[in-house]
Amino acid sequence: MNRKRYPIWLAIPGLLIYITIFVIPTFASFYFSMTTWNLKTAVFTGTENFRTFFTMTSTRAALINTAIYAVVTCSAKVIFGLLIARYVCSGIRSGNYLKIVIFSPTLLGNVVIGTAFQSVLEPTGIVNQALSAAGISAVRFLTDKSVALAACCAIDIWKGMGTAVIIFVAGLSAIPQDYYEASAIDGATDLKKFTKITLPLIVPTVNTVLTLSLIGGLRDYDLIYTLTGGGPGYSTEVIGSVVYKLFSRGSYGLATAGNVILFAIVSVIVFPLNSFVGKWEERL
Amino acid sequence: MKRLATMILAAAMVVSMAGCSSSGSGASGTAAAENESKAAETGKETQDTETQDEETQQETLAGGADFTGITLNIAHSSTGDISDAYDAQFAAFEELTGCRIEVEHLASDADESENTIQVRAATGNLPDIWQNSIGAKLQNISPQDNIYDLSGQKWLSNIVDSYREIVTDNETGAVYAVPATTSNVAGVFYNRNVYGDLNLEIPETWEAFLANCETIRAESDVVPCASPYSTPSGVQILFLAQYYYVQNENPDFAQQYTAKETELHESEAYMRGLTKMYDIWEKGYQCEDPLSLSFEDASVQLANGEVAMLVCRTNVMATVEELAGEKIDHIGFFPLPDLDSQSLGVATWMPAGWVANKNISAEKEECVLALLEFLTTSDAIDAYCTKTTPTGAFMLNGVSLPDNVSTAVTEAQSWVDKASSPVMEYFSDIKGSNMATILQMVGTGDYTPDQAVAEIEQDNAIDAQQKGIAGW
Repeated sequence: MNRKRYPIWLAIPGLLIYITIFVIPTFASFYFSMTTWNLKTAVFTGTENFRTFFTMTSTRAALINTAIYAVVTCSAKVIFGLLIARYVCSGIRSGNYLKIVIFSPTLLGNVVIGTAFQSVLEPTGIVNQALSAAGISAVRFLTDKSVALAACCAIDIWKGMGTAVIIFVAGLSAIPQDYYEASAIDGATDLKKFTKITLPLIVPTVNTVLTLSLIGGLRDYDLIYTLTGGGPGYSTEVIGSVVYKLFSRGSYGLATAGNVILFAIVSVIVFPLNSFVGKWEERL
Repeated sequence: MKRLATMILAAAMVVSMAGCSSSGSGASGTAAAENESKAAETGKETQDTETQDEETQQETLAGGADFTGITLNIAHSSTGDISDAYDAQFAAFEELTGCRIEVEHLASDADESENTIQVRAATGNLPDIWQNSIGAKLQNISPQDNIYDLSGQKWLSNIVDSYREIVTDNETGAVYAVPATTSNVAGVFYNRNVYGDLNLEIPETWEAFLANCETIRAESDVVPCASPYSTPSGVQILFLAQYYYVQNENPDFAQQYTAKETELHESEAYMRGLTKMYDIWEKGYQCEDPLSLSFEDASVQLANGEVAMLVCRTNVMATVEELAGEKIDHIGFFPLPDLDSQSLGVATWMPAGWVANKNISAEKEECVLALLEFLTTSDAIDAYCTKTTPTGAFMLNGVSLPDNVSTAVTEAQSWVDKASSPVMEYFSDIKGSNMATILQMVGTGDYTPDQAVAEIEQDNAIDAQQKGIAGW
């Protein structure tokens, strides 16, 4: 029996758009990453750009910082996001109000947040004023090498928490109340309910948040760049900011190579992670 | 139904009448503008005869042309006073010729705005006129393909020779740019009151400079040397200003370096620039947190006498005028000291240039040229000076600085004639993407000068390779 299909030409408009704005640029960037390119003429240099990219001092720092930044912000968003979502869904009266408050930073642009926090965190900014009122000496949040990356992570967590919480709230409200009622009749404690009902059923949502925030963390640079410009020294340099600086110096080929490397890193980490969590989900 | 039709008809009549009246007033408006511009020209002629002979060639401005209906797009990356000054110039030109000028603001960061222009050049989307870096950086935009060649224009003689040289292609003789704003002179700006109170003398060697710092620290609460390292531009000035001494040591340094015939660490003068930054940090003469000190805060502190010295460029005086105008004369200038008093000199930045799109449409061509010509006349400079006090030379013949220029700027200008050199970027465009970061690390003690130069060389090599410069 012949299954009836839509004629192929129906897909053509969508396919054309997809090919022109995604497939062609992606493959073009693979090509340009192997050239020295001044936007007009591209000279093929093979894998030279990739080798150069990894020899740069800034890149070595950036790879480590990107890993720390992505892992810290992603795990914080998953753990605290779930706890906060559990709290706002627990039937408290201010639940809806809290959802709005927690979500609102997400509406701001990264550059806006970066600029605002720059003045909040400066040596005479309000955070340090509060600290000094409490008798704590001023902290150079954005210009001290040992603190700057942590400060960037904290701000990103504050900003990205809203999205995580909203996704978790959706996930939590999809769990049927019957399970909780049944377990309550059997005498389950709140902790038991959380570990035996909520957690297993929320795993698909965890997977979503984990994937989204990890990809976001690996690619993020605009927030960091406005906060610290990658400094002090290379202490908050991430792959995105290295690429940005190369682009603005006109090293388009090398910068594109950096982007391809970032693309590869994201793919190598995220796809296996996704399928790993997926399998874990099936087992539960 | 009948009522609706009546209303539509009535509405149509009103609209068409409004159309008539507006086109009528438009016509009379143009006539008025013409009259005005004629009046302006006669006014200008009388003014010209009053001023010196040098300006007689300027009377041909726009030939009384009327450019009503033409709209020019102009892109630049200047902000604040300078941007206002440009607007005043454009408004004067609009009034003179009836054309319209639309200004587009690019990112204020130099690297970023250059990048934007380059991308737009590659996609055939350049504005009619834009502000471009000059000297070696002109090459980045492939001027022969993108920039209108001004050679042969009579009014080019309005521009001083030293500026015309760095906007001229030596092989083809093409001239690409007219100066947009004023030059910048780099050196040490100091607070006269602090120097007076402590009986300090103007240092003529780096040792004397450090000795002054020591005295200031020992005998007062004043910070000896402000170090606004929070921005990429702030952290590079001292180091780039050292280039006067580098070219004094070897006049062909930039050319030889570009051709990879010499290395940065082989120039003692180049290394001394890094050492100076390191000295200020090592001996603790700078403020507590250089990486969060902004240029604006540093200039106010200097005017207030909270810091004694600040290595920067004359454009700092515009900031001082805006933020602490009454204290502007507390500030003086001396060249960045080096080995001895005989070799003292200053490094300069030439003003960025206005360049025109080579592929401009025929109807706009005349208007664009008239505007570029206008920008080299004293009328344009007068308009400029209504918005800001210049902090350097205009690089135009027959235009002198107004009387209200601050003394520090006058002192700095006096060194330009005596001993000066444009900074290295006008002769060699090799500069890695991490220069500012590396200098921040020198200025906060993370790198010694030797470590820094090794990394600058490595970083620059990548840039040169990416630019495809021969020999790298």
